Amino acid sequence: MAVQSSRTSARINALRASFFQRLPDLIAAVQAAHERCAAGGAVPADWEDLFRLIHNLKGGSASFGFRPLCDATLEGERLAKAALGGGAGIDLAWHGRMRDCIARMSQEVARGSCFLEDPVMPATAPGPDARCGERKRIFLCDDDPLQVQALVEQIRCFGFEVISFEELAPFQEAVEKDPPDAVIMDVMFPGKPMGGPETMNLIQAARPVAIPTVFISAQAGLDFRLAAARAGSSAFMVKPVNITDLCGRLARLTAPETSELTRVLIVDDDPPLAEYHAQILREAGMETRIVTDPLLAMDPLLEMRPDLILMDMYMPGCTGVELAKTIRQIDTFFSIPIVFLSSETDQDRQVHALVTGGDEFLTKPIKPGNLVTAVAVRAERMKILRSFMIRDGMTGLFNHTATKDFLDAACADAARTGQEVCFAMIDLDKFKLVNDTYGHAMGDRVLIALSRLLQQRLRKSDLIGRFGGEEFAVVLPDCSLAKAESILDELRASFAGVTFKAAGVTFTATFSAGVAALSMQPDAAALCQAADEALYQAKSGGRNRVVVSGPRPPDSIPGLDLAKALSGLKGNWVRLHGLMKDFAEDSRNAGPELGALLAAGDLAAAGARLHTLKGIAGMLGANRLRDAIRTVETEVNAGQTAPPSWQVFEHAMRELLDGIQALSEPKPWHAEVNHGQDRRS
Amino acid sequence: MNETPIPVLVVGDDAFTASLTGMVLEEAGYDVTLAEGGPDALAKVAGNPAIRVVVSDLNMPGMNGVQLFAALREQGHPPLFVLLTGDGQEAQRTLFPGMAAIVAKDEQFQETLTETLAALLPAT
Repeated sequence: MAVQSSRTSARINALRASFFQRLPDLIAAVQAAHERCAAGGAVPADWEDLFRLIHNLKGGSASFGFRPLCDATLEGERLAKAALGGGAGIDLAWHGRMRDCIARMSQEVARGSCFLEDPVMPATAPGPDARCGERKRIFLCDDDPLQVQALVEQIRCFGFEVISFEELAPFQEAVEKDPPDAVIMDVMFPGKPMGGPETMNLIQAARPVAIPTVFISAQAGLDFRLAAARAGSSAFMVKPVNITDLCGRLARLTAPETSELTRVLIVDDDPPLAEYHAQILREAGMETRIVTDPLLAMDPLLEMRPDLILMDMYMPGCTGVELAKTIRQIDTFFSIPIVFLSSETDQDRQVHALVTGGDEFLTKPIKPGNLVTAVAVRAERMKILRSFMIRDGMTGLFNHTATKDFLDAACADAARTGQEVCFAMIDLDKFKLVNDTYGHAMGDRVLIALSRLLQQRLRKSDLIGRFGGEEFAVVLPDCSLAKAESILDELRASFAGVTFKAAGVTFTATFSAGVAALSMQPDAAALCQAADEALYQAKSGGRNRVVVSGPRPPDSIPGLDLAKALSGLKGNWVRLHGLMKDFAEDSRNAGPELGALLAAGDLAAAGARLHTLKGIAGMLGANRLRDAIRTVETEVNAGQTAPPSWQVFEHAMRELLDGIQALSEPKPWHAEVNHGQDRRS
Repeated sequence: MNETPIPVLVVGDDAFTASLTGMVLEEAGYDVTLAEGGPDALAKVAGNPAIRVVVSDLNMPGMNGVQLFAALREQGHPPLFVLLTGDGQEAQRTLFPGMAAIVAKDEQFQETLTETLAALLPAT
C-alpha cells in the first residue's frame, strides 16, 4: 500500500513540477495573445485565445493548489471574458488593466509563492474483496493536458478506470466504438466555445440510452449550464472541481440502478381500472402495487416505500385529498410525489387537490404514454432527491439517518436469518487539533482519506456512514465480532500509516473505534449504544485502538444496585464482572471466618474485616448488607462477641455472594476487551 | 479527555476496593498505578514525582491512610491526598487539615470520586 501511495503522489508531484516549469511559457503565451489583441487588426479568434489561455492558467493553478496565481488570474479572466466576441468596446483603460493583471501573474510565478501545500491525497490500494471489484470505465475529455492528468490520477484513487482525451473527435470515435459507463466533459474547447455539449448532443441522440455525463466548466453562467442540460447532462460542476463531489456523482451515476425498479403504489377503489394502470406502468418497467381500499393504504405504503403514489380522487371512506394529507404527515413521505388520477374536470377542485398535497392532476382517461411519462419523470426526481437526502455531501457516505435505517433493516434481517450483525463507531483522534494546526481544508482531506479507505477496504455488503463531524459508522452484516474487530484493527493500522502533507510538514492521523455485535444486544438501539460505549473506552484507553463491546450486564443482581456499581465504569460490565467474581470467590467463607475471629476474641481483626466489607457493600450499592454490617460493627465495638444482628448480616452476605455467583460467564473472546490497556503495576 | 493522562496512585490492601477505585479512575482518563499499602505507596511516590494525587483507603494493616498522609508530608512536596473511608459517618471525624478530600465508600462512591478528582485537577 505504501508503495502505491508514494508512486501516485510522486506522479502528481511530477505533474505539478512540470506545470510550474511551464508557467513562464504559459504567461508569455498570455502576454503574446494580449499583444495580438492590442495590435490593430485582431480577429475574434485572438480574443478567444486570450480568454482560453488565461482560463486554462486559472484552472491549472487552482487544480495544483497554486492559490496566489489562481487569484491573480481571476481578474484577467473576467476582463478577457468581457472582450469575447471581437473585443467590441474595449478601450485603453481595459488594456492597462489587462497588462497589470498579466504583470501580477508573472510576479506570482517569479516569487515562487506557488509552492504551497501538497494537494495530493495519499492513495491506498484496494483490499482483496474491495468494492471496486468491477471498475467503472470513465471517459474524460478536456483540452488542458495538465488538468486532465491531475484529474485522472485523483479519480483513479476512487477506484474508477479513466481514459482521457484532449480532443473531441477521437473521444467521439472511442465512445461510438465502446461506450463508457460515464463521461466527464469540458464545455469549452479551442475554437468551439460549446464544443463539449455539442459533441455530447450528437452522441446521445444516436443512442437508445443516454450515457451519464458530468460537465465540468470554468464558467458557471446559465448559458453554459443550459447548453449542458440540453446535451442531457446528469450534473454540471464548476472548476476547480471538488474531486470528492465529482467521484460521488460518478459513483451514483454508474451504480447498477437497474435492479432498483421504480416503485409505484396505486390507490384506486375500482379494481379493473387500477389493474389497467398497473399494467401500463409494469410494461414500462415499473414495479406496482394496488390498494383498493384507501383506509388500508398505510401498511402497503410503509412496506413498499414507493417512489410515487398514483391515487384516485374519489373513493369510499376517504377522498384522495384526505389520504394525501395524511400520508404527507409521515416524515418519510413528506416529499413523496402524489399524482391524482380522476375524471374530475372542475378546475377549482383540481387546484384544491394540488394545494392540499398532490403534485399533479391527471384526467381520466389518460393515454398510456402520458401516464408513463408523468409517473416516470416525478419518480426519477424523487429518487435523485432521496439520494441527496441519504448521502453526506463531503464524503459521499451515507448520512446519519440513512445509516440508522440500514442498521435497523440489517438487524431485522438478522432476526429472520439468525446471522450476526456488527456495528462499529469510528472517531478520528484529536481531530480538532488537525483543524486548528493545519486548517479546515486539511481536516477535510483527512476526513475524505478515511472515508475513502473505508470504502476501499470494506465489503460491498457493508454500509459506511458519516455520523457528522469526525464520527463515522460501519454496519457489517453477516460478520462475526472477532472478524469485525480484526477488520477494524487492520483499518486502524492502515490509516495510522497514511501520511498527510501540509505546508511542507508531514503528519499522521489516527482513529479510535468501538465495535459491538447484535447477538450480545437486545436490539439495534442497544447495539448502537454498545458500540458508542466501546468507542468511549477506546478513547479513554489512549486512542488509536479498537475496543470490542463486551456482553451487556444483566438487568439486576439481587442484593446490590447494579446501576450504581457501574456508574463510574462507563458500562464496562466485563471489568466489573471479573472483579465481583474474584470478590465472591475470596469471600465465600467470610461469614464463618468472621465468626471464628469473634469467637477467638480478636475483635480488632474482626472489626477491620467488617470495615472493609462495609466499604465494598457501600460501593456496590448493597445497602442491606452495609446497614447490617454497621449494626454488627456497633455491637462488636460495644464488646459483644456474639452480636445479636449476626443472622441479618450473614443472610445479606449470602444474598450478595449468591447473586454474584449466579452470573453467567462472558463469552471467551471478551477476554480481549482490554488487551494492551492494563497499566496497573 | 486529557492530552496526557494524569498519573494517580491508588493505595489499598483490599483487592476489590483498590481495583474498583483504579478502574473508575482509569475510565475517567487517569493513569492509574496501584500500591498495596503505605510503605509501597511511599516508595512509588518517591520513585515517580509526576504522581499528582494519592487516593488511599483508610483502614490498612501496618500503616493506615492517615499515617500514610502524615508520612507523605514528611517526605516533602506531597501529592494531593484523597482518603477513602468505610462510610460517611467516619468521614467527619477523620478529616485532617491539608487533606484534599475524603470520599465515603457508599453507593455514590464512583460519582463522588470522579467529581472530586476533577475538581482537584481542573486542568483535565
